[in-house]
Amino acid sequence: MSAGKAVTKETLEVVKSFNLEGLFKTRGAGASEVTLLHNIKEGKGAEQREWLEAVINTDWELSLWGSEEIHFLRACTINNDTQFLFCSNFDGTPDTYLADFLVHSPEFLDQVWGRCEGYPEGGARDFKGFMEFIVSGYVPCQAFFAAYPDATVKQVWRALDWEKKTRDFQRELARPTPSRTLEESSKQRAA
Amino acid sequence: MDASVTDRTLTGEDIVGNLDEIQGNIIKPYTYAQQRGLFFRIDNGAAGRQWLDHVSARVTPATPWPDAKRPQSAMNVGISFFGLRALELSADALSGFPGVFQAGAVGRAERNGDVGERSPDTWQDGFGSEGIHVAVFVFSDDVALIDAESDWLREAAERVGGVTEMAAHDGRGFEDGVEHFGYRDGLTDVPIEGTEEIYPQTPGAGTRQPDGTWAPLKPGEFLLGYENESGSEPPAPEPRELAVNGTFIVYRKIYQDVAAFRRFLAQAAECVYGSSNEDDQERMAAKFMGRWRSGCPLMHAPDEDRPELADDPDKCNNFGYSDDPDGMICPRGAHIRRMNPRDALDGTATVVRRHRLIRRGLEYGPKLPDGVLEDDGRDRGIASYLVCANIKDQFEFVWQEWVNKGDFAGLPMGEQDPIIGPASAEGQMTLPGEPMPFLFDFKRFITTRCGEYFFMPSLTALKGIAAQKY
Ligand code: HEM
Repeated sequence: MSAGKAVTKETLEVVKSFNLEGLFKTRGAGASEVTLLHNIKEGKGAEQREWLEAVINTDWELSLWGSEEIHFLRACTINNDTQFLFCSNFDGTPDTYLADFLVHSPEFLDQVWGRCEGYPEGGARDFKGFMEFIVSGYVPCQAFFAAYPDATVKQVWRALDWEKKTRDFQRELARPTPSRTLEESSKQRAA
Repeated sequence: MDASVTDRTLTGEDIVGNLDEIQGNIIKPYTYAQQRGLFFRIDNGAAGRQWLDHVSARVTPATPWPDAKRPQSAMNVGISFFGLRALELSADALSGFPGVFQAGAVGRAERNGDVGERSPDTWQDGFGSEGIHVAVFVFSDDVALIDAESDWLREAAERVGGVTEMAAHDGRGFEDGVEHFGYRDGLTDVPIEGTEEIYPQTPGAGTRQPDGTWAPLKPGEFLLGYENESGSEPPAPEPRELAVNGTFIVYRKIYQDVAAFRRFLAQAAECVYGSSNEDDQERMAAKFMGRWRSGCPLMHAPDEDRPELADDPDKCNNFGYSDDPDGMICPRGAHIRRMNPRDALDGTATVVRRHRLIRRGLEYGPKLPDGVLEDDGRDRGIASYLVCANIKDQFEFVWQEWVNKGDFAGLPMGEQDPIIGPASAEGQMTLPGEPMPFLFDFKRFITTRCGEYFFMPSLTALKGIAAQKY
């Protein structure tokens, strides 16, 4: 990952000019979707599938895809490895999501889509070419459901952390105090 | 059986005409005081079939008898998948059985959370292997008669050779209706459409209807070949004759650690009510079960026990939970609210009527005397079977989702059945409205000693299996 780069105004401008927000669905701060379908270059299907299988559970996967904005992401080769289906549910708008990716991890994007037809020669560093490629694979989504549309990934993590802390606190509270252990109280009753 | 009925899906209207085909103790419980489960292994298919043929002649059907004419004993038979294989059922017939049944209790142990201290490696009497083939349950009020029937079975086995007895598990009716942990049991049953006349049940049994009345369950939840609550038939093997009027049973012999339960009850009462006096322990016990130990339902008696309600047919079972969504009266995690959430999950994706179980359980072992808090080292518990047409959607679903988790009821994921849950580290119970509304550090009070899935065929199918017809 090319670390430390900020999303520049220009990147965002380029991305915005493609009007992704009008294309993909958003249900709330914590619920946007992107669905893309691209043809895989001839002879590259198996490689694409194997690369996806290998990337699962690697540090790479965690550090790149596992950005703190993605709730769920599915990447699959379909139709006998001839097409590549990419579906992601994430926080914020598709614009910022993609702009972030473009700046932080163009190499990763090259790995993900580089085996697809129409992928720009200059890879993801060619922002405009990359965006054209992305939009060419746009799959309109008719129905998109979100059970908690306003909870972002970070908020979900925070809530889970709170739940754990609350339970630990409850457990502390509910612990029989030394004076209330069984032996003590039976002694008290006997007395 | 009328051969023509076997090609179409049967309904409640067909049951009465098929009672002589369905094994007894499924639709309606026997009331015998004693039971023995004898478990056999079959090492020689031909001998096994010959023996099964003898046995099948003694099997008791569901045909009702007038009280005065109750037979002195009854006998019923179940066969595990490994048993069917040992009896040399054809490969086609075998492969038609649901995968879960084919895997058996051992094959499904991991999915069912029967791991670690509960794993099949620790099971007794050859359970926990593929070596339990045929279960014969013998019932009577008189142990001498059970002995006589057992001897008859053993002698028949000896005569043919190749059939080995693996275990005999005795059970008896709950003394005064009270099980080892001190709760009145055997209060509720599941009514099946078409059996209202032969087995009338109390309001509250069945499924709550929008108008507040209760409807019986479709027969296909408990019998193969019949319409079930999804409007289809439960998965079943071919040919149809092999399946129709049969069902599956889940046998479990479960040890109950009564001393541990009593100690925890006292500790829990301390934690929740600040005292372990008898009243508070009883209150705690009621919150665990959803019924006071008298059997009186919490939903009708939130604050104090009213034992007379357990014997009131209009009250004992006639309640739902929709007026108590948070579990202020009956905790959402209480044993009976988990095992049959009634109307509590209406409006969710879970359809309770597809996950019901008929319980046919008896207890074994001496009672631990009242007040004793230390284990006496004696074996005690329940030797019971659960009846269901679809082991995966019924027994396994209930066991995996409702016993071992809390999520379905909106409780913390790790919250488990307080009585029969595995008491893992996250184990806890949510008790809204109580002085201390949560309780932790549950102990494991039950241990599976033996478990297996058995097919309980119709009388015709049993004879057909013995004749190697399928
Ligand atoms: C030693 C273990 C167990 C004990 C002590 C126990 C005890 C009880 C008691 C006292 C009742 C209430 C009385 C009644 O409704 O008739 C009950 C109900 C019930 N139990 Fe258990 N039980 C045990 C194991 C199981 C298991 C393993 C299952 C199934 C997986 C189960 C399923 C049910 C069901 C379905 C009900 C009826 C709930 C209703 O319809 O309201 N129980 N049990």
